[in-house]
Amino acid sequence: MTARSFLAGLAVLATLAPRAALANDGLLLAACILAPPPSEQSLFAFSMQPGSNIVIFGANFFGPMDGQILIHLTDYLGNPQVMSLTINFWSDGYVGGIVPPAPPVGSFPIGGASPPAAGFSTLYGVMSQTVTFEVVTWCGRSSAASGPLVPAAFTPFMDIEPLSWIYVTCSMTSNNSGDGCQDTGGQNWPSECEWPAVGLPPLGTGSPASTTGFVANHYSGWGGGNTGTDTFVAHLINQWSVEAVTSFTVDPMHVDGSYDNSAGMWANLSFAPSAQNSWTVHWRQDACSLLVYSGLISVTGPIGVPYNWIAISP
Amino acid sequence: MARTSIALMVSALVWAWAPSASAEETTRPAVFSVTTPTPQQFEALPPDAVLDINGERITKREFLTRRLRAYDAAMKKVQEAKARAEAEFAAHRKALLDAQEAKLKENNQRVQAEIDRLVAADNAIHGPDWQARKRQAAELLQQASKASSSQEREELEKRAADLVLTPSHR
Repeated sequence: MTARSFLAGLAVLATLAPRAALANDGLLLAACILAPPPSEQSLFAFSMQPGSNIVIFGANFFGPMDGQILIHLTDYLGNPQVMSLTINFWSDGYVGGIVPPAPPVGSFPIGGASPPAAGFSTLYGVMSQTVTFEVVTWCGRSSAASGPLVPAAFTPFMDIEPLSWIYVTCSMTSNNSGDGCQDTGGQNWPSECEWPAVGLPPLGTGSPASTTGFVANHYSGWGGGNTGTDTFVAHLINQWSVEAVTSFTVDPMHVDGSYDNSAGMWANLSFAPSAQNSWTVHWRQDACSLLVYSGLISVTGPIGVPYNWIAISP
Repeated sequence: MARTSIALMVSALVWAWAPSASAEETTRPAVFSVTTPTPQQFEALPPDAVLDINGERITKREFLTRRLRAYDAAMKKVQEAKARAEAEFAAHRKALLDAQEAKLKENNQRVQAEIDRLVAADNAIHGPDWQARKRQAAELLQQASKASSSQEREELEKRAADLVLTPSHR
């Protein structure tokens, strides 16, 4: 290469390079700028989520000096985000880095409607999506200029939370005056059975939003007992879903005041993870009896992403 | 689940009902066997009416008293169940988060094995001190950016270049 062509190339390419890099004008910079542009070929990783170790294969990454690997993604509000990976190693034909980690669990509101803070250094507030990686050499030359960036199916770090009752609605096949679930139905216990003046209210009556789970109370009157099916639906957004319905507890109070669960009073829970965030409880009770059942709803979704737009107050 | 029916045959036993009975008989209730009453009929029964439930005979008063006791117990059980559920959830959550972390760690270790292989290949090309030379070059460039004279800066840059520039880069 002649000195003339070297200087001409430097003059043209320097306009594309960051000022910071140009401040270190010299042999290394010249070699970096005059090298062929970096290009990506493939990605190597066994997971693609916050904290993942990855390797990008390609060419012309200018091995002598470490550059930057950038991940391009969007937050759950649709805002583009670009973050730097921690560089593991750097070579001419392959570079390695670590995707920014998720913040420690419990370090910020989960399931609430708080958008990610600007400039967050940990990766949260993003949903499953296709991301791309951009390799920028030490002198500021980008792989984006020489072809498509390597895509990858990104999975966010998932959290798990007990769901507040306010996001769960219910319906009942038995709609007698003594049937109630969540904030549906009432406290209309049959008068002939002389239920206490203050009955067990529906969960939604006066309960704070921090109350979690689901509950149903069935008061039957005098007669042949009652049976029915209650259907519950969790209303979730942003890739959150019901992971499990746990701690299902049945409290049958028999007509004679006993709690024998093997007799004519029972409630059976039916939940399948594929059931569109819905579960049912089929139940049966005797005359003048109270059947109470309750459970906890465990929801899972991307860390730092709200599961409902309705803000809840602690 | 098979339904175990509770016999709801009710006998309403009305005290001192028969007008032609003797004095002794007037203190003994006459028994009325009735079919299952309606809720309204049940509500109208006097407190001393005797109910036959699964063969056990108890008064309506006692029956309702039991219900109050059972109701209080039920409320207590609901509260206990809630506390138990919260503890169970905490354990469930920890297990899932730990599993997620463990999986990530395992995957990263598998990638690291490949990285180790690549670094070894790189060192084979540039020499075993390649990573150290790169670090040294970066430090020299850092010093060059703070040099007091252009001559000093150029000298530092040249030393950095000599450390890491291979023929393929020149």
